[in-house]
Amino acid sequence: MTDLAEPAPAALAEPRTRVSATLTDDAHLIAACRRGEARAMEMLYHQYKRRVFGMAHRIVGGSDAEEVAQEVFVRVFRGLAAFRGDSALSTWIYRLTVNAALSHLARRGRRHEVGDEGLTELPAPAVIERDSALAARIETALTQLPAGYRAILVLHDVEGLSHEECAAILECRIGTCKSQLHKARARMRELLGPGLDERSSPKP
Amino acid sequence: MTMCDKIRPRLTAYLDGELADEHGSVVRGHLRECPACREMARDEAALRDGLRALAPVDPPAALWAGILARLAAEEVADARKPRWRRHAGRWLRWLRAARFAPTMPQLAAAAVVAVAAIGLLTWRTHRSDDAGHVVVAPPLVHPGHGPAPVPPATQAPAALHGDVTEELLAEPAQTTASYARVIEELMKLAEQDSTGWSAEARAAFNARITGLRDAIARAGQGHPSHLAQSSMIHYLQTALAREDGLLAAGGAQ
Amino acid sequence: MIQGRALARRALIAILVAAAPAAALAEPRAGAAPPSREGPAAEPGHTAGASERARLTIEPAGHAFTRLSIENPLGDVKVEGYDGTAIQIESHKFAPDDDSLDRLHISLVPNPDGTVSIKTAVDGGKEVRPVPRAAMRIDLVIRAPRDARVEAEAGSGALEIANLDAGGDLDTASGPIFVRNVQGEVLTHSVSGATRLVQVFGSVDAQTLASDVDLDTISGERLVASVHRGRIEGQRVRARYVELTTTEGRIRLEAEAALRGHLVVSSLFGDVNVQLRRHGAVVVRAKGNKVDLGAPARPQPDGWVESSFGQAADAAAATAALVEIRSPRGNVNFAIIESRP
Repeated sequence: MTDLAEPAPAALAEPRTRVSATLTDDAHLIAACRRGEARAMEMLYHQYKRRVFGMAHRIVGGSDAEEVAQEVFVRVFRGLAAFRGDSALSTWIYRLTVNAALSHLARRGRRHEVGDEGLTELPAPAVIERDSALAARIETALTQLPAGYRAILVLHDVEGLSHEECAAILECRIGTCKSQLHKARARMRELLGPGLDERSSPKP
Repeated sequence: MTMCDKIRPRLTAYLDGELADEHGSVVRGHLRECPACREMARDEAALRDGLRALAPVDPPAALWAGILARLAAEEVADARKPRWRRHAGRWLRWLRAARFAPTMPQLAAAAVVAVAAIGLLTWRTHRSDDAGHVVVAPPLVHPGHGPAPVPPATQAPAALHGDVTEELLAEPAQTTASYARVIEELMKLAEQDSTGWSAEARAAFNARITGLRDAIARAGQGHPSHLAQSSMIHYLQTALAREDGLLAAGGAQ
Repeated sequence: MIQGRALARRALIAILVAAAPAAALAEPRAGAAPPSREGPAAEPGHTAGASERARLTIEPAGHAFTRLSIENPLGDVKVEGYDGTAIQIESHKFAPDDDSLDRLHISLVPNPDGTVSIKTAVDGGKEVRPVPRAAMRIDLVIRAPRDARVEAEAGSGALEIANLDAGGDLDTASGPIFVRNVQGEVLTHSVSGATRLVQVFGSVDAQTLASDVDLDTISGERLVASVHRGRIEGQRVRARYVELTTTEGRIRLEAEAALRGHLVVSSLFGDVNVQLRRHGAVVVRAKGNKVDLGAPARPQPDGWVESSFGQAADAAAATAALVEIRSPRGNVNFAIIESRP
């Protein structure tokens, strides 16, 4: 008969085996990063680098993405001591990412803000090639979008985060998040023009 | 306000499956009748799918080295800064992170709060230093010294509707139920067959079944239960194949 | 000691390489298998986005590991015995995105009695959005000392053990079971996972409710297999006591009769086909819808028929092997395929 019951606490108190290392885990990672362990920091970096860089890339554009991502990770490692775990580590990191990207744009002088204010500053839409692949057209249209809209589209549609996560990252209400997404998509449709569906991969 | 004006603000939520059934069916009904809204919905769905399918962008290999270099530079700068400026820096960063653009009067008002906030932060940090580190979740692997934490796997996960945790919680019971269904299937067959058995054979069969059922009840859940249930299944199969309710010598044990 | 340290150092290096998310490991094809988005499969059978690989080595201190207990409702478990003393665990987690990936946990508790237990779980989290069952997965590949006994439970994942000397106890819901080159007592239970045992030396007890059992090269004291709905296929079987039972589903057995051996093969609704290599005398008793023993059969009470093979004196003696075949509603076929003196 298999005995899969938990070992008695007494047995646990004096294990005679030596564990040479740990499998990855957020709490461990945070604690080890706080202690300044290089391996843990590198693990945390690898765990989040794609999303952080991806978000930065799509919000500020390719040329400045590296600078922003670097800024984010520096803030993450220096801020971990004060990170109290009242949101998920990922939420906190993505919040730093979006904020760093948006303030980078602000510094660059584009003055885009989250919200409707951005609408009035919309640059004249660039001519978006109708024949190119949908992905390329979408990428081009994204660059034409107000930064706030870009943020919500990147978080929700590109990265696939839920409205709850987006709201936590953008520090707004879920309702605001949803209406922003609706407006952002509407603006994208305007930029891309009608008949998106026919040119994209045909539906089965 | 036309029907289209009412429908269009809801289109995003509808396409993302966030509308309750009755609202969903209103939108669906309108889309069936209105070609313009239908095209808009198709376009938005195509756009959403297109965004989701965008190729990921890979960070350059040099990014990590850049981060390490900047961390090192900032740490050196930290060491040269007086203590109060380190706290102020943290506080300002926190304000910036909160996207709080302070005006002068706001800054003055915030200063009072900030003193308290710094006190709190410092205290918290100290507290966590005392404890070694702050653990927001139980550690994965017990390092092998000191009192061991309860491994996370032993904690009953909070089930979330439609989530993996919900199904995981239900699975052991489903498996046990599969065994129970087979037992009942075989018991039905045995009831039909037993009409042809001798009274002695029926009595022996019933006694054995009672014993096996008791063993299953004692076994509880999971693997021990499967072992007990499988013994009963095996016994029933053997008894049925023999057609007289009595076990062959050396049969299921 | 030196060797132990060397092992630990090697393990550390392994972690440095392996603990980074698999996306980082798979750099060359990273574009094709990005984390957190749907796309081309990162692994065969997995279409999800994020994945993570980690490796861990536990060295024994004091005394050897004797028992390995694994519960993984989230994916596959593969345990392979080897000539070392440490337990090496490689985990591979899969989730639709990084956040969900963070919800997957593995716990490991080494006990002073020589047991190591490994369990996997998904935490409920707070700010999580529901993730479908099929999108979350943890696969475990473990190398364990040959003489440790393995006890493993899985759900829909596959259980596989190989090259072990102290047997195993395996239980799955719908996942397949595969046992290869194992000595000792082997127990397998599955609701609907196909079960296959190859080269088992010792005793076997295999049961499924709704899937097939395949047995190849099984020898030892005792082989018991029971299937409710599904077939049993056995070849190169040589055990002193063999008992194969199905409710529905045919049984085909190619076995070697041991001296004084006892084979019981029965099905309620399925056909039964037994081919026997014999060494000494064999007595076959059978009962079924239609019975063919390949030799003249003597009718017995209650509808049984009987045939003997080999020397009459041997058949009467206690050394004869006894074969009992029953299939009340199916057909029975029996044949001696090759007799040796």
